[in-house]
Amino acid sequence: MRVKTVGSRARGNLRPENADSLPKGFNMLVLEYMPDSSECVIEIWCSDSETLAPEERKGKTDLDNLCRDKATLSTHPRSPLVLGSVSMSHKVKESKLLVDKGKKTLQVNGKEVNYLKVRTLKSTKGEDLEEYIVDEG
Amino acid sequence: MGNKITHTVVVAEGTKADPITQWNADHTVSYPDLVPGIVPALTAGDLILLRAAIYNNPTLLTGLLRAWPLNTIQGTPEGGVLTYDGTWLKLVTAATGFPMVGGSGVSVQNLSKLEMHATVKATPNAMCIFFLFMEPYKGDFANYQGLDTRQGTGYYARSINAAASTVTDLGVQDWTVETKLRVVHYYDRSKVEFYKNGALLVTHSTNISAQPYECNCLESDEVARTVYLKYPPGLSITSAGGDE
Repeated sequence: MRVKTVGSRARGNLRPENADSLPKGFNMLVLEYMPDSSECVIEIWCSDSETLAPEERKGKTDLDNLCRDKATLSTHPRSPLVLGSVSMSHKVKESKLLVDKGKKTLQVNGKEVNYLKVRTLKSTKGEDLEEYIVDEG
Repeated sequence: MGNKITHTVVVAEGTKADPITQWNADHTVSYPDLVPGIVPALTAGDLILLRAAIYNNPTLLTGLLRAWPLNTIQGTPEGGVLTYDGTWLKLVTAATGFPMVGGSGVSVQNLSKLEMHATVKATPNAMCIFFLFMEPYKGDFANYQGLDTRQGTGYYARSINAAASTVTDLGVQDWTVETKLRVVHYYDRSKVEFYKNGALLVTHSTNISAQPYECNCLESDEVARTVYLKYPPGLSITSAGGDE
């Protein structure tokens, strides 16, 4: 979406007009600011994954409603396939996560949740982690 | 326009106070002066330069944004070598350990925003680096808000609460170029904002963990590289109540 901006780079607070009113559960990425900084192109993504707190789960209808916001100037063709992800991570050496790699599921709050893929990373203590991606937006 | 309260951190000679007690008393916090034994990685010459940067700059002891108290800078405990050239704090890291520039004991009570600021650059290395991040205590990666690379030049905004993550892919960045970073955490856990060079890049409103935090920057994980933090103000924080 293309939206107007508020603030300025000089003050360190240039941002989309709707940044201050973004409802809980939505995540926003600014793809680019126009050369005069008056407008920018943003993408908003969300997930209804069970791994999120109930008030943070948002679906396609919620997203469609948000995108009808009056701040939206137009849609924009530039859109990455995947903006971000939600996931559960655990330490490889001392896993507390119940994972069934055959079924590609894990247990979250007593519920079985499907995951899409696994990626590895290191923590800020250098521990090897596995990150189970449950949704991509 | 609402009221704004600013938590000002001042580096003052010979004074020592519990930050929250002092804050409650007069909204001013004092920290011990630089002592060579506290910042062991720095030479005597580097310390003189740092003192000059603090005391000769009139804007550093007044106004809103203040430098981190320097007794919280860490370099050698995790194997890095820290020097200061009058502009940049330079941390040379080895292929072992997790050296970084950081501070501990940050506690913000009933204030709406905790902001971290840093101007950084780094030599290329296709391995993990954490540029600017908050954790309840160092190494609690299950409750983390920050900017980092996993590998290569791609980087990510990452919010983790109780091991559940929200991650936004931010593409490629040339980290050899000086870059201003800022992370803003809202006390009510409504959102975290990630800024680059004065403009908002990402807002996360999911998987926001709770204050208080330790604040750190430029942590290389068992990687040989050189990282730079511009000083002053270095890694600095502000916290505020009300609207700007």
